[in-house]
Amino acid sequence: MGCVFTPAIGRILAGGILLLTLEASAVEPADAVSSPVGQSIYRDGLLASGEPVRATVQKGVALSGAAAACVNCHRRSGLGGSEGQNPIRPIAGRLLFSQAKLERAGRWAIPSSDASVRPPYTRDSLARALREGIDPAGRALDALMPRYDLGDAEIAQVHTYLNGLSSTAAPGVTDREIHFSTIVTPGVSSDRRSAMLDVLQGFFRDKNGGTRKETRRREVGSEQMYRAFRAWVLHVWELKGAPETWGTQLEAYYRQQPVFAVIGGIGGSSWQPVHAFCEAFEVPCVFPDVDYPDVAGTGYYPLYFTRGVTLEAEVLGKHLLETDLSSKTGTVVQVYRDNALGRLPAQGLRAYLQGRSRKTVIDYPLAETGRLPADFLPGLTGMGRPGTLVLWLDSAELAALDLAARAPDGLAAVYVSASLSAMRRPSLPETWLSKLQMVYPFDLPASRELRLARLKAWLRARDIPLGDERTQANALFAATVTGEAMSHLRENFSRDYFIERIEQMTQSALSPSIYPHLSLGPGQRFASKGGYVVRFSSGEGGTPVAISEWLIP
Amino acid sequence: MNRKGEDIVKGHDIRNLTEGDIKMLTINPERMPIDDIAVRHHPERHAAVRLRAIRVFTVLSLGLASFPISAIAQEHQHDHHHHAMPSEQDGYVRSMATYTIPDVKLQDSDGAGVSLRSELDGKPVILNFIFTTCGAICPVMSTTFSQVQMALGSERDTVHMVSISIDPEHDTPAALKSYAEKYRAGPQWQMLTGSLDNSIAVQRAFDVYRGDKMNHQPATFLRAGPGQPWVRLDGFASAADILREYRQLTSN
Repeated sequence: MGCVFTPAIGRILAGGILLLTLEASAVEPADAVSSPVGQSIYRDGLLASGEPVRATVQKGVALSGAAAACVNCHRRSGLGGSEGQNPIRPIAGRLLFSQAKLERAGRWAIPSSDASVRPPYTRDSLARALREGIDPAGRALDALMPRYDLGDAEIAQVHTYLNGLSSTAAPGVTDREIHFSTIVTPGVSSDRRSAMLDVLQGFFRDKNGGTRKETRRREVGSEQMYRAFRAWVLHVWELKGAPETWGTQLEAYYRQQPVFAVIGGIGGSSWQPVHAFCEAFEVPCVFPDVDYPDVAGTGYYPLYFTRGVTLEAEVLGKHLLETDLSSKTGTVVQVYRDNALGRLPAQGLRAYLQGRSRKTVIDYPLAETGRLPADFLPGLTGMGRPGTLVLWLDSAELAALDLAARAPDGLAAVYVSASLSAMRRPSLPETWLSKLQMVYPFDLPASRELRLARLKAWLRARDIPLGDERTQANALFAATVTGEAMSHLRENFSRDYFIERIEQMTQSALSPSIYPHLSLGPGQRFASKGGYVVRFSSGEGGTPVAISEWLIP
Repeated sequence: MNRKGEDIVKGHDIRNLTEGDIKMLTINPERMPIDDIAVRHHPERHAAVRLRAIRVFTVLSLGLASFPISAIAQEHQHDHHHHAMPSEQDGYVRSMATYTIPDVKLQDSDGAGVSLRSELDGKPVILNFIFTTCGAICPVMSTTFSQVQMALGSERDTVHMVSISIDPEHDTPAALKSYAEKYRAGPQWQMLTGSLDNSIAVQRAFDVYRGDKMNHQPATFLRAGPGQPWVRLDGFASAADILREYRQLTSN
């Protein structure tokens, strides 16, 4: 019997989602939207009627709908930024509807004159700016600013919306302190937990120690950079029990002490409840060290290093298609733990190969204590065609497989995951090791060692023991990029602006990372996009050697 | 070959030029060196140099609306009578240059590998650099390309339009495909991506690499055919501007 998706069901579903969202934000109300119609024009380029907004950029380039939405340039926060040499002015109400000084100072500072002052916008001058591109002083706006075809009522809605936009400091910021948290889920080894916490606490100590005089400067001085100073406070939110209960625990932590953002964090299994919390409470969750991020791409506030095991599955898929030319029709056997997370990479690889090749993909879900029957592999990979075996298992699970000493003859390669094996060569019988390859979404040791020398020097200077390299590098990157973004915010304690700054600066961030190249952009949520496939040199431990290019699925 | 003529401008980033810089240029525009190609195409070296300096001001005066520019405006109007060239007031800088196209393999929006050199060796080319999550600049440039395509009508098959991603790791062939659909790119308009290194090599070759994609600046490149110099339009050239340049280039 088929399931028919009717519009009625669709409406019910949509209603349910809406209720959930409202309920979530009612717990700790975010800023109420001052004008939903204004927001729709601003963010989506849609009028109340559902018709697209229409506008013209210089010389007749017509834009409409989403392409004409204010958010494209002025971003969600309305606090502006820049792209290339085009400055994007802040338009949040408290800045737009007050007098602004247009900064023109350079090496030869220009004495302040009437020409450098922009009078406050009013509703009428806002209308003129939107329709004709003329500011309240009568000057033409930047040529990139579209000229909008908007009626009086619509402009009034935009006016109201801008008035409420980024108008108050986000929760977690007091006059003297700014609160952050980090999150540790159950199932994380104590080594990794302390590796991360050591780095974050060291960073916070530096931050507050190095700026302790700024408390006094803030009180006497008028310079904006001092006014923004707050002492940084780190809260460690430890989660307990089943993932279904984490949401409630996070809400309780947050109600007790709201935080401006979550820095780093470490997940041993699911991260979905944390993702849902960040999204519902509009809390930026910056670069946690996790293998199972939400990859649906619907989040705004959570930022991740990679798409985790899903990325690994697709990198492997791409590698198989590129290398396995002779056997596009061969067999791929996937062994994975038969639970929700264990199935993820297997589903990812199957989905990637489907439609791109005619390979036979055979799934072998393994029960909690399951082993591979001795005759299973020879049976599948025999029959004269070389087979590929993928083991989506962690190191302990791989050891527990208790593989036969001799790998089946028909077996061409065995693939394992670097994330699940802690980036180390698993211990397998010798004949298996010769066929072993690993999906490796990290920088290779030789090249990352140079960059991570900085991490090591940083740790040594603070008497922090060297721990898990990935955990420590990721924690320091998350903390550093947070620090850089905060210094850009100055007194604009807007979480949207914070996210926008990180989107903009991640590519140029100087902090070392374990990935070859991190980069975000407007709306991008995964900073590292690819991976290598490696084999291991023989000898003690084995060094990963790339056998593929940096593959981006 | 480097476009030496742009060095002064590039070194400072046009938008960051201060009043002092502009005075310097106004007083002594001959201090802007130009490359051989520009000299070949503008035998009156001094006039060409001067004209280029004036165009820099055009960009500035449009962008910096509040800048005290009365003196420059006068200068501009004065020169305008003497050099009635197209697009002086359009806010872009036109220059000519030769570029060595790196011999790299890129991918089109179907994921097929293409050699950039041989790809560009054929029909007249109109080329730009974009990325799909870009908010301010690229939508305008891509809409402009879309308008060029529409204005060309059936003639569009005689030209090869190319948009190269400067965010290649995010702009997979699939991402480019939906971007191409958004701007209704016809078969003559190709979107290319590739490895980060290859994308950077191409950006460097065209002198548009600015380190971080968020620092990128709008530019359009046109070439009549293999071995010919490129016309470079820095700034926002409109569809009409691009078409005029294209016609001028291909009518010779």
